[in-house]
Amino acid sequence: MKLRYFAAVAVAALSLAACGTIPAAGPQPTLGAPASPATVQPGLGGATVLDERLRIDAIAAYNTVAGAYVSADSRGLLPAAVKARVRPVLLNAFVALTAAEDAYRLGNAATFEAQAKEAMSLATQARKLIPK
Amino acid sequence: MDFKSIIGQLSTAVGGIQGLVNVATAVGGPAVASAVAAVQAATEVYNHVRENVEVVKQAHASNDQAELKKIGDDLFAEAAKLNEYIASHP
Repeated sequence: MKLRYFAAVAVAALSLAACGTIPAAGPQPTLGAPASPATVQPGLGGATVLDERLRIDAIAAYNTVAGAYVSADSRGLLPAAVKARVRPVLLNAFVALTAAEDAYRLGNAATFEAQAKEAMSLATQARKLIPK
Repeated sequence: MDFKSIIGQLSTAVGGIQGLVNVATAVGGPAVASAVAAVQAATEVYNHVRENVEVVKQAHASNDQAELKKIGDDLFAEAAKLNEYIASHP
């Protein structure tokens, strides 16, 4: 039965990969020109639609993997060895997400984009550590 | 694979797994307890994936910035709850 659970995680990975992210080409996300918190309006004021989408992509990537982890762990289905490998990566992913949120609110475009992508990268890493 | 086919596959899988949960629960007994837990977890994961796929689809189709901000805010609130569980269960 654990196999069914891990198959579900595999589908999660497939689904997220299919969702895609902001294309590399074309307009890049920006929270408004200068990246200085002192000169940019906080929050939505300086953000673009592309920023909002990158934010959503990053958080959804984390939530999908973290949700699978919590569903399994809360029922005692996660082997200790898997938990020991995945948990620190998820904790780091949330640290990156929080840093991205802070940068988003301050209008710091460079930090926002870097931290959002770092969170997505760590979420992907965590997903790969869960056996299929 | 496009979004429609992904959603279709997920919906079929969720329906099938829910059926197994119902059968296992009806049979009952400790022997199936862990199996039921595994199936329930799988069901929860499928539902969670489906919700997130829908959210990302919606985000990429919308140009309404206020709507996108609200989606992001809601998602981050959920992320914070998940992190709270993960951080408090070493």
